[in-house]
Amino acid sequence: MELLSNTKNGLYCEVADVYIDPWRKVDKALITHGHSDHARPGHKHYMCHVNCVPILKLRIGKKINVRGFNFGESIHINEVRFSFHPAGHVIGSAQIRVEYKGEVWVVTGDYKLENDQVCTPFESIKCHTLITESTFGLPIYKWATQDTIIQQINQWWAQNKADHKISVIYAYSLGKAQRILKHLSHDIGNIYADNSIYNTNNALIQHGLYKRACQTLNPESKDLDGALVLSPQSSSALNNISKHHPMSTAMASGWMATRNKRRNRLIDKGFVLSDHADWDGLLEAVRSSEAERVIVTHGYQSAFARYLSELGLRAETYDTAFKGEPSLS
Amino acid sequence: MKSLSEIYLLLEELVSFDAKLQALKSYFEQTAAEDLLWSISLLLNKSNARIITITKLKDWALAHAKIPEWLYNQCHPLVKDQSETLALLLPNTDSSIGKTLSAWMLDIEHHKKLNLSKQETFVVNAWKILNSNERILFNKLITGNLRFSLSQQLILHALHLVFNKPIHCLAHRLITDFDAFDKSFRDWLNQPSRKDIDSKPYPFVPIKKLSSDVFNIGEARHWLGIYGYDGISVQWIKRNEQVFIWNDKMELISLLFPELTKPELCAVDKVVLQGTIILMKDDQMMDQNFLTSRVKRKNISKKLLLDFPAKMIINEVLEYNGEDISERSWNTQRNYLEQLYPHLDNHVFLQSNTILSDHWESFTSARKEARNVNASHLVLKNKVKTKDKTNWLWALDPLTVYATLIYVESSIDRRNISSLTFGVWDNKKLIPICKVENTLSKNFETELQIWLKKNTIEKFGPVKSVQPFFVFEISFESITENKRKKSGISLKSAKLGKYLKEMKAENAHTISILKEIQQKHIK
Ligand SMILES: [Zn+2]
Ligand SMILES: [Zn+2]
Repeated sequence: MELLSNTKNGLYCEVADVYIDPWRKVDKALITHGHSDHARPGHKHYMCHVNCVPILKLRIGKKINVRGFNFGESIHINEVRFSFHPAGHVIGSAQIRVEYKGEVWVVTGDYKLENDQVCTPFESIKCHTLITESTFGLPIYKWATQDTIIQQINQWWAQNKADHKISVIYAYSLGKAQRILKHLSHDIGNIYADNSIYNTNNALIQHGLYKRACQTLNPESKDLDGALVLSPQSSSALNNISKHHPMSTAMASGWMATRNKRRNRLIDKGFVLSDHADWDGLLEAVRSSEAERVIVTHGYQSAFARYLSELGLRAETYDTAFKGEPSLS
Repeated sequence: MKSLSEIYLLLEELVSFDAKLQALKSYFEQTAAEDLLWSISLLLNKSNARIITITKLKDWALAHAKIPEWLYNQCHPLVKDQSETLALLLPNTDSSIGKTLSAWMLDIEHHKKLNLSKQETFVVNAWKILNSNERILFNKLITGNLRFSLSQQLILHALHLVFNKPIHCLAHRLITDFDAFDKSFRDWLNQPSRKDIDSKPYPFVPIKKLSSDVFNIGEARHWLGIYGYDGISVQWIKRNEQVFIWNDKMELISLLFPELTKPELCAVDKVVLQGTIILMKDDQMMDQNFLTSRVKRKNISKKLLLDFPAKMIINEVLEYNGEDISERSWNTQRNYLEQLYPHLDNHVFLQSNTILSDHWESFTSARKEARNVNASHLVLKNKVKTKDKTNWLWALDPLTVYATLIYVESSIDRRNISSLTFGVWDNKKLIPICKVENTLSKNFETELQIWLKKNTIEKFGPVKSVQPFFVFEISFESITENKRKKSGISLKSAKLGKYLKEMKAENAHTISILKEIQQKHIK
């Protein structure tokens, strides 16, 4: 029996009888972070990093049964020792270290290596087996630094302002919204946020997890000329505003790295900004973990696993165990 | 290379003419003098800098980046562009070397003739000093895959704004071959040329769509009507045995129509004609799709010139024997035109039909006949040229068909309906004939959305196919043949008309009705 295994409910530790980021309703769930593909509703007990608690309450419900832990704090369940470690993905995000009888596994959850100065930066944890995500696990995905991208956004905003256009950036309400809002120049113009971003920020601010406040966007919002609006997606409020104000729209996402994706979206501009590790980041994380065995999930797992196995590592995916044979075409 | 790669990517993102113009303008402003002619040459796709095949380039890139072929094959479908995939796979560099575009072009030219290993060294070293955007451009450039899709008009206007040279002087320079290796931009721009005078067109008279009743523009006897055609509105200029053809965007399009640029087509020199270029097959006028596809072609084959020759329908003469008569009365112009006709090649130049009457009724009935002569509208010109030189475009009454709703497309946020697709019956099956913008009332749209919940057959992303039920009147300007469509036709300017509540879907129109309309209007 493996320490962790992939079951129909999700990643499972049989010895402790707990799940990590399970996708079906379970009794005990360890949660890496608040994004909806990791933190699902309906579990009886939630365990996560302390900074993740207000996020789970906001997104899943005030009444959930949740316990928060500090980074490095040990949680013993049936002789298994669990602990949370910084993943650098979004506020409250963590990797989960699992230790049993000297054997160590690390589940990265989602992560990035660059310090975004919003959440606690990624820390590499040594382990025997690493379960890593691979959202951007292809070598075409290589990020420029956050500073470079923020500069691009500032320039674009200033230009739009000069053209009397409203700048709209589509970005996730948890993660990129805080990053952009924090680092963007506040001298260019007013910044507004869609309700979901505004509410997320407020919850974070109330718990001392975030500082930068902004105004919420509503039909009465004034001084929209030259303003910047952050929104997770297009909304009726934005639609209404676009009837009276010229607008330029942008998306901040790692997918914007290829021209093909930038063209396909119905947006004017794409900024390559991601909360996930790029190709070099994934390789770096694998190397520094010193893991003998790597299990790849969540993304381009087969390509990344095959590449790792060609480097001489024992790599597999959770869908199909990868033996290093060039079976992929 | 840096600024050219930036403008290349930026132009892909911009949509409006104005935004592209501003971008090009600031690009020209920032480009060093020695690089300007190269930039123009590349923007016009005139330079060939190909040194190797993309396959060879791929081998080098994968070896240099240490990426196995199978991994490249995983990446390429996501990027969908070989030059870009390679540019992204190559290791990133921070070094930015200020090597000028002209230096790069010289280097590339030099390496065209060298052996493969020298070329490889050159290319690999280049990658080491180019950022990933520059590498996209570089890879395209040296494999002969770099193409800008800019209109001549756009480049002309941008150059005009930056260098203050009249557009027509820039236009003939642009379409004449020039060698950026042995010419400086200043020389190219400022060397005096006969063509600066000879090619100069007259201002194009603006044309406005007549939206009110025709009686409102005055008395019929002051006006003349000319049938208008779906074609290219042009000025045809012959001066000093050279022909220049301008379209109304001030683009010099002479090269697109070799059959219209022979000086011997007009025996008189210093003549400027105003009219419309159309394509013909035998005696039949081809619809505008033919013209559009011909204009897009890089090379015009002999066969095409023989089978579908271009002709020009003359509306006006603006210059005769070097005399400017553009401001003269219509009668005077007509006299000149009459004198000119015997000297024109009548295989190429066609006379327009003019409608003259003291009563608007004659104009109205001429308008009704327009489709029978393949005209697409009527142009009204003031006979006595006044200060206000606007011409009026009098559109024809639309044609209509009773069509059945088959697809409904939602907006991106799925809140609203953005477009509706209609079909007509063909052997018990509905085949699509047009997609129209949603102009339904808010109430109707809400009702339709409720109806959709129970009557959707299938979903394809934002598009739903629906049960045949709603019949609408669809109005359109004309029908053209379109072999790529299942129905074999396209409707020009199709619009949503009224909902035919009483009509059952099975009684709506069939494809044969549209085919009949199409036949009737082709002579
Ligand atoms: Zn996440
Ligand atoms: Zn995730």
